[in-house]
Amino acid sequence: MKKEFFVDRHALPILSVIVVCTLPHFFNISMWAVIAILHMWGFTVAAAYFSWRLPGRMTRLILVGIFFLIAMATNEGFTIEAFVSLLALMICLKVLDIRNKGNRMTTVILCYFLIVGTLFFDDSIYATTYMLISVLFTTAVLIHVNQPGHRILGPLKLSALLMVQALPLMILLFMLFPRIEGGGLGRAPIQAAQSGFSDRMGFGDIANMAQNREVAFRVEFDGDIPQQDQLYWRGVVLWDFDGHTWRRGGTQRGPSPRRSATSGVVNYTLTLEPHNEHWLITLDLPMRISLPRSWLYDDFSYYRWREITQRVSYTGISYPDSIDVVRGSLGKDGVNLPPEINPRARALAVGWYEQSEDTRDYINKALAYFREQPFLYTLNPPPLPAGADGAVPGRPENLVDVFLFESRKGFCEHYATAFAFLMRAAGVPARVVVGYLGGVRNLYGEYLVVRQSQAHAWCEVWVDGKGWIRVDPTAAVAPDRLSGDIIGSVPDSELIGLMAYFRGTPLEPFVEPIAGYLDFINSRWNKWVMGYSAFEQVDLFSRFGIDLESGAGPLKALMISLMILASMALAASIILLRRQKPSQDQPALSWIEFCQKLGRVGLERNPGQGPIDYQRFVLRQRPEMGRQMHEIVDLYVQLRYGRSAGDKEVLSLQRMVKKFQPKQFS
Amino acid sequence: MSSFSLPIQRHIFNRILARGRIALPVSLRHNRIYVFPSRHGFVFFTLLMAILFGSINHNNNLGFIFVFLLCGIGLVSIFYTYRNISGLVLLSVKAPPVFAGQNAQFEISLNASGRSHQALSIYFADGKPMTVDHLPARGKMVVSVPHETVARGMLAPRQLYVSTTYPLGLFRAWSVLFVDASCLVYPKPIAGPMITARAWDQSESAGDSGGEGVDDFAGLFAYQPGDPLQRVSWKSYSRGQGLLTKKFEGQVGKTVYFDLEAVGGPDVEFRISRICHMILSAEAMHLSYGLKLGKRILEPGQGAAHKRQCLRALALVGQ
Repeated sequence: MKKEFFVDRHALPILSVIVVCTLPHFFNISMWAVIAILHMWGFTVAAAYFSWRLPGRMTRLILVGIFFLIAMATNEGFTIEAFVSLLALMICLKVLDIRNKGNRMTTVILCYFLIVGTLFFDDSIYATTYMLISVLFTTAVLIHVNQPGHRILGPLKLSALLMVQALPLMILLFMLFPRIEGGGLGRAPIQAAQSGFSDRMGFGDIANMAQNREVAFRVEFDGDIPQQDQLYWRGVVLWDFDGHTWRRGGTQRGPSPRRSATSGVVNYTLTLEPHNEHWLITLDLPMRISLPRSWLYDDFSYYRWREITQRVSYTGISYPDSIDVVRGSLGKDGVNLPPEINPRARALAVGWYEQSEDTRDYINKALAYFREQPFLYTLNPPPLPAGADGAVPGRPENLVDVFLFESRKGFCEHYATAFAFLMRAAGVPARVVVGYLGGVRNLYGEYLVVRQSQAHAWCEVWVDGKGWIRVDPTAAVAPDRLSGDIIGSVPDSELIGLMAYFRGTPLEPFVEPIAGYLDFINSRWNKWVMGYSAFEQVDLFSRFGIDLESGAGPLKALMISLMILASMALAASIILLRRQKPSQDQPALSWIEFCQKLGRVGLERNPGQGPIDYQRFVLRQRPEMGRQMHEIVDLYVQLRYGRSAGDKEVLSLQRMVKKFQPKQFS
Repeated sequence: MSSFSLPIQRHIFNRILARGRIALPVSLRHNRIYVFPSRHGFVFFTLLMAILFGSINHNNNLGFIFVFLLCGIGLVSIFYTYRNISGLVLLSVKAPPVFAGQNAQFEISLNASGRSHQALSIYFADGKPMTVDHLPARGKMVVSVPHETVARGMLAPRQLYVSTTYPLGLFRAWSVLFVDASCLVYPKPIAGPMITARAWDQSESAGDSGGEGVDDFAGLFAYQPGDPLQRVSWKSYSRGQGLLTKKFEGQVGKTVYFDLEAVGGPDVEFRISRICHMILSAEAMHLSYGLKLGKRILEPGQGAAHKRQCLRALALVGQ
């Protein structure tokens, strides 16, 4: 066995390409699958080194079963992660049996499948670069399998050459291949994409996201970037509160949305990372977005017809100054509360309300409470209830009481919940909006990056005669939060992005521009390449005068695409198959043919005879062939030993030899 | 490799057959080269289709990029595969005679074009492929391609395949050639006692005593195919001196006559095989031997040329 594996020159390249293609998956698949894969690799190398017996068919069959269980049980069922880990494990088994060429080919081709697996998890420019490198290696190993010898540098070069030559076709097909808006059937769930909030919010949910440095979305503005305290990114609007959790409740409710007439329109393009939910992000308050099949609900939240499982890009028009002026048709919405909970907060609310002149005054009283009492804005709020002094034991629903009078430490959702509760307790309609606040400007591009850590919750309160006005109680506690400086407002917090690793080190001033530049490149990549879709395709063709949305448009586009591809194939044939100049050996070949023809009639050439000697020898026996002999031999001698002659002579010699038919001597 | 043949391949092959045998040298050019996906090529492109549908379904642009890149690589590799056998020249084919049942070895001399050729596979239909690992640009090389033999006579080989899957193994480019070459196949020798016939030349009548003399030991000679096994000096063999045959004085220089009709046997092929063996034995024993095949008579003689002439005549009896 030792010999078989070591002598097999393909073992090492194939094993290394498997490692290259599997490594990126280690971040996605379960730990158990990773451990199993590492064991298989270890076993393969050890088996080769210590010449162990390789497992037989039965053992391998059992292993297939075990691997199936590992993949399915530790990756939450039939998820993409499960399939990827199963594939990686099966390839580990396959590598044990690469003694014939067919198996080697199959193993390497399966590696391409592994590479595709990574594309589901990450399509940043880094992932793309890694994909290209893996394709380069995998193709090189595929060449290695098909060529004799040990060389790996040659296959690598050829692989790179093939990729470069495939590039034009790739780009063309990428642009021309018909795209369908919204894709097909949807995709299997991916665990990794579940960052961001859902349309429910409990205490601590948003605080948990404060540590999450992933990009939520990027925005590019047509004009100037608005002030930080204007950058309220509206996500979902929550109406129902049960004492612990805010929920959206029903979807469509009441008449179509209306806003107060205002000026100050803002145009922007937003690229939203996938979050596996239906909601979309807009700048408060949205007017319209360009994404098809998405709806504006009456509370000015935007929803898409299905989950956002891949990056979407859309342009939006918003009026930051405008106010939602529709109260909502369901009368009790906005003031509903579960009965009897949080008695102390209710009492406080009713007391204030009685002293207030109007709703405005009441709101200010509540905000003043947050400002004046020792409230603390923190990323790590203590879990509620904790040492609930005034709360009834066994009634943990009084969370708002605990927060307002006991712990007084919370993140934005605590303040929003408590504030909305106080409003509703006094009969003032209030709702909670979850979204993002602020954004960090990229140094290189005029765009903002908004990360999950910037998730925020605030309130909207109904003021008669005005509408739903925005009240952000967090601002009363931590005014810095509004300026976008989460670091300043939250002690001991972490910096955003790559910067966090270098904060406080001497490298900080150097890393900051690099981190910014990388994000800039990535955002361009996302916008121009990853963002290319049916919409951009229509735009592209319209530049060439083809309207894809008209009846004959697609057919015209298809014809033109095929014509472009055909001419490309033609160009490729000409470049790659260009005839070499008639081979210099052509005269030699003609000469060999000539001698063979004479040999067949018994005039074989002695290997030592040169052309002139041979001619003399032939003519001694067959003087009647003199004319033809002279013609051919003279031309050959001229081509072979004389001055270099043109292609015409070469071809003429070839033709003469073809016609030459010596007769059998009788 | 040859086990995978598609109907289209057979169709093309039939076209070639219709063209008749071709004389060498022949240069493999576009009119003789066929390219078709290999089994793994079909697997590869099926996989790409699956990924393409996945990409359409998820609207995953990176998936599209991947599919189109691999598709491009696959398609570009067609040119490389084609180029790898295009321009190759088969200069000549010759095959030394063999005995029936042995593999004929067709020695094909190849001449590279202006570029090098890798991993060429050369084989007769259903035969064992011979691989040319690397043929440098303008290089020359002789490849021995085996061809099985069944019966004696002139063997006209089956169609010769020159094929390659280099560089990616996804496409196979091949050329089918019905080369105008032949191999003389001697009858298969069948051992047995040497049966000599009466001399047809009346002036000499010494041959009827048979060849199995037990005269004085003359010496050891190198073993040649057909030597009777009981004459092999096993002692020398066990000493590692190779196979040697004992020769006896009485046989050397004698003349024997073989007549096809004088040999008993179930059929003519069996008798031809017996005679074949006798010729080899006689030659090994340095006897002078003559041969009568029906009406054709070969006068007694000795030596390699005479043996070849006799075996040739024997191989072509009735053909």
